[in-house]
Amino acid sequence: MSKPTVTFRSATSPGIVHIDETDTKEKHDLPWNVIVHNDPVNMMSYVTMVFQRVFGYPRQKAEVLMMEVHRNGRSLVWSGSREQAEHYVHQLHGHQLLATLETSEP
Amino acid sequence: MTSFVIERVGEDAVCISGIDTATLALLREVPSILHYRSHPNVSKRMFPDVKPGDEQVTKEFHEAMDPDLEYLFASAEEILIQDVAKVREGTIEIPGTHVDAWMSALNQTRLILAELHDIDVGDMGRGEFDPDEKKDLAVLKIHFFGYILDLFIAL
Repeated sequence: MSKPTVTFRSATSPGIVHIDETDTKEKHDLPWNVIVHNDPVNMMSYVTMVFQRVFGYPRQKAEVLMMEVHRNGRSLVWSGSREQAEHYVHQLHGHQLLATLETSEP
Repeated sequence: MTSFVIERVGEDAVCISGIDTATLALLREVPSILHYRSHPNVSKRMFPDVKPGDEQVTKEFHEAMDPDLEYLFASAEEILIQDVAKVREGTIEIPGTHVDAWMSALNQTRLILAELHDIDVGDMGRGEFDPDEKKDLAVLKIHFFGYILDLFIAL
């Protein structure tokens, strides 16, 4: 991934100075994805129940996501702000699901 | 196992009945399995890295969240231990508020057994077991605790 650059005019010397933009703004602006990974032990019924509880998803949506985890090995179950994503991952870890965070490519 | 029943009693309680000697022995074994929660091989699974490849975010998340998780897991274990100690004539009645703790403790037990014995999807799908083999016995226990967990989910 190439980092965006921000152009500043230097106050002390003429010419253009290119400064790499810090990752911070980028990470705040990008959606944070909550990913749930398959594991051999957690039961389908349990994973469905956890999705309903943590995200408030209706049973049908929870089952679709659970099957995606089961068949594809992972599923993007929620996307949004970093703070909320971290909260959800913490909840999922509390239910012992294997969950991670990813930031979307711009 | 056919007499093992978990059912709601009124609005605020759950009755677990048909707990035979073997089932009670397995439930009493739960704390000794959960004792391995901090085992290096197990803790990676119970306290997973939140953002593999991003050391800083992962470290900060561990520092902020792991104590809370540890408390949550330990509280669930404590509730199950106290409830199991109250089994009389194969039956206990637990408050409805304890159901989540039971599910947590049972699922923790399943995951820890799997990590300790390096159990994969192939092991979980096998239909034949040798109870004299430690790994096979662990798989059987995982299925057994899963059976109870499923009864709680269905409540």
